[in-house]
Amino acid sequence: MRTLPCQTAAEVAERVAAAAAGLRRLTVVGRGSKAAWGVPVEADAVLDVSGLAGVVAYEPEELLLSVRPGTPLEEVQALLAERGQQLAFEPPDYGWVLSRQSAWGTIGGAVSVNASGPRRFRAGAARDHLLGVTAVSGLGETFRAGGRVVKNVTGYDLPKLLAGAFGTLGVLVELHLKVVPAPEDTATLVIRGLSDTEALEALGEVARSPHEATGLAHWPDPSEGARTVVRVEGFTASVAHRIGALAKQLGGRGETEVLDATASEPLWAAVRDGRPVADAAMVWLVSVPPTGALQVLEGARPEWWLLDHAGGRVWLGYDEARAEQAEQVRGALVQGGHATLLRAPEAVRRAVPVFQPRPTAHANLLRRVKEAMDPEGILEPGRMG
Amino acid sequence: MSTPATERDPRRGALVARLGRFLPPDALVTDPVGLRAFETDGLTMHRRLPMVVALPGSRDEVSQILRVCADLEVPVVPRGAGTGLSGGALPLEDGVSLGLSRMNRILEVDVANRCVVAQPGVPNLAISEAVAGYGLYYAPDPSSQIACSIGGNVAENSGGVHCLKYGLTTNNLLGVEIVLMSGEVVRLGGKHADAGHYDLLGLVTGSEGLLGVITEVTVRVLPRPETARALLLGFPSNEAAGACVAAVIAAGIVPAGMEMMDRLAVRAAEAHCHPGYPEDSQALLIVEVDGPEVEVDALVERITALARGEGATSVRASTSEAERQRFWKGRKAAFPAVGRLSPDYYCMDGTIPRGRLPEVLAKIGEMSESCGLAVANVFHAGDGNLHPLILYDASDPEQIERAEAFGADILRLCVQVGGVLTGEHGVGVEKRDLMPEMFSETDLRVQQRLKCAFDPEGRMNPGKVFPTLHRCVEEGRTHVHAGEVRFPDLPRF
Repeated sequence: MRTLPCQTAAEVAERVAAAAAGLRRLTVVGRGSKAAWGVPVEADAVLDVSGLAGVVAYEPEELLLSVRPGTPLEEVQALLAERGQQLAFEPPDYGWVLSRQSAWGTIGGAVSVNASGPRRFRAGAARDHLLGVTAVSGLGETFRAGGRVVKNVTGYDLPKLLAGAFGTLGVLVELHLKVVPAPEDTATLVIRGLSDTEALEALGEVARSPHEATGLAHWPDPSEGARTVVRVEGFTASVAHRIGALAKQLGGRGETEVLDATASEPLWAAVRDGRPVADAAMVWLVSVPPTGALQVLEGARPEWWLLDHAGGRVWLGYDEARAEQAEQVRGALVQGGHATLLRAPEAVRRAVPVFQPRPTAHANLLRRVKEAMDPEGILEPGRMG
Repeated sequence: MSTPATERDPRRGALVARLGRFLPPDALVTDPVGLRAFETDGLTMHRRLPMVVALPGSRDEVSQILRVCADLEVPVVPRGAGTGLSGGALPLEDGVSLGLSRMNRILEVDVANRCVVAQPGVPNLAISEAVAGYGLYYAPDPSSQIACSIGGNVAENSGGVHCLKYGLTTNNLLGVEIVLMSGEVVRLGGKHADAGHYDLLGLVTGSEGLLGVITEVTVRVLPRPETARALLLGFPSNEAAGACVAAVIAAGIVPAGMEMMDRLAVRAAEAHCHPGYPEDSQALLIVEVDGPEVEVDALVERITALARGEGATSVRASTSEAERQRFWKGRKAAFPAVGRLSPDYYCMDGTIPRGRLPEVLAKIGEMSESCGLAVANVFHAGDGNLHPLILYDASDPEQIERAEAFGADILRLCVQVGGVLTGEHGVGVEKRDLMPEMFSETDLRVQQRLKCAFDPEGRMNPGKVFPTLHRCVEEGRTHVHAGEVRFPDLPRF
């Protein structure tokens, strides 16, 4: 397949316009770290935007980062860390699940899959931090939407639509992101040996408490036993106070331990990246109301699982990738929600809906939105089913 | 007396007859006196009688009304509580105003999942009240929260004082049910996070009633912080206050709220309700921090030190809940307080980068002098959202014109310094013709193509947000771009 490298926004617009005129289908690639996520795409050419990289403007005092989409995520994070700031949505390293090794992608990729980590239930996902974009439609039109300020309701919120669209609605060429101060301190309360039911009950209690937890996860670990983990972040005195209160509140439930910031870091990176399920042959990412998590586990019967967001996010892992599992997983969404197939061999991803099927009126609306942004259907055809 | 325009439309008879088949008599307003109550929203300088007002009591009635309107080719203007400040609910003479006020029940308080399911007509504050007993609350708090409806909040993506830390409506929304102009019902989101496909929920939020009618809303509710304290900081200049805002952010502190009032606004508030503001200050900051007591106390100390470093002439921190409320009293009453200085005031809503604050305030001051209308500034300083209040007299048509021109100039200035036309009030009819200041033709065309995906005939709230009407033509693959038609009949400025 031909590769079309792009260094500038103008080149992207030119190449997309030419592709639209010639009805040539494009797949858009940064570092290719998420190529195995979604429905396999049949394209005529690869639009390579890895060269469309670099920071356009970083204004720490405005909590604003303007950046080109091909910029590696590690670079963005290192730059922000220098000024004591971070991306609040905690983009995961999906490489662990998709390719069994670390594979940080680009900032554009993280936005395109609407990435989010353990802090999601409190701080939101990429969509909540994308203030504005410049993008190229499927007709090759360069358009701007949103803005460079945090509070803006001028026009439709297209940044939200483009976040999580897997490149099917437009090619991002510049992003304006809200950044936030990084916490001064972090601590984690670990409780061992809780059942899934006990853990969800404890995590739910914490979620409803005023202790402002920013991580609420649980997973069974064959070698070390089940772990239930609660993270608090913020100013040092506040973290000490809250972790103390939580240890007291949950102390009677099982054997507990408090981890400091240094020990917390790798633990939450593992939760963020889905490491407890990363060795499975098939991995699903499920979003449900927190009280629906147990029904998901009971109905979907995974071999490996990780409950995050106090149950609102469930990672499911199977040792064998079978197409029939799609029905089992989706049938287990008793209280609503959606299931996305994250990892599976290509043949399976062709055979089952990777993204949650929708009722007819909703599905038709999704199709018409795609047609509005990409009338010729040349951007990532079929990637989102 | 001539027949009102609303009664001349030939479709009116058929419309009233067909709606009357399924709507109870009190849900259909057709007499001129009854219609008068719906002629405007919070932007009272624009008034127009709708042809008919329909007040559905259920989603199914909404769907039926829309099917009838689609069939008769009658446009529809959705309306919540009518508190919007940009004219988004301004009626159409040949249209149906669809009021959601009768759909005002809270359907479910789900404590375990930390969310509330409500009909669109439920007032914003009622949601917090419904969960207060569980130590929970709904964070977005527009100043009209006693009256404004949650459905209207979604349509406008409303903000409030606390959105600096807790986000706008869109960041606190889990799901909606909408009815499209075709009458089809679509549920977006639910009690879970993320769309799992295109984020249509995010797109519909803040779409100002142009994409669909919201018939149900699910919002997330948060644990109430352990404690909150406010600081009242007086500064000798706007520059010093602006520098303090920057210093707080630079110190890694995201306060729950950070509000600024200029000298005129402070004086008006003090005269109106005596909150005890330092009247010798040129600029006043109210900074609120919330969370665990140990954190709040430490932050109060840090912010106090930062304020003194920036030359604050007056520093007070609340030591009781009553005192905190008193600090806010003047800010919350700022609009009516300014209203006492002048027969009318016109509230603007641009957002600017925080760092440009002193410069923009200085320019607004110059503009005020040259156009001869006073302006008081109340400002969500933490997120750069300005609310200049232009003082004028609406009984003088020339002053209305001058106030509108001054307002437009302020918004142009906001865009010039890297900001936007509206931070939380919406575009509506008010800023519609200023959209080209911020967006190119291409930008607007792409947005309007999305409108076509929801409402191909352009019958949902036409004449709002976009300065030109866009025809959704579907002729093979040569789509849409052609055929933009001006609205000759709509007022503009």
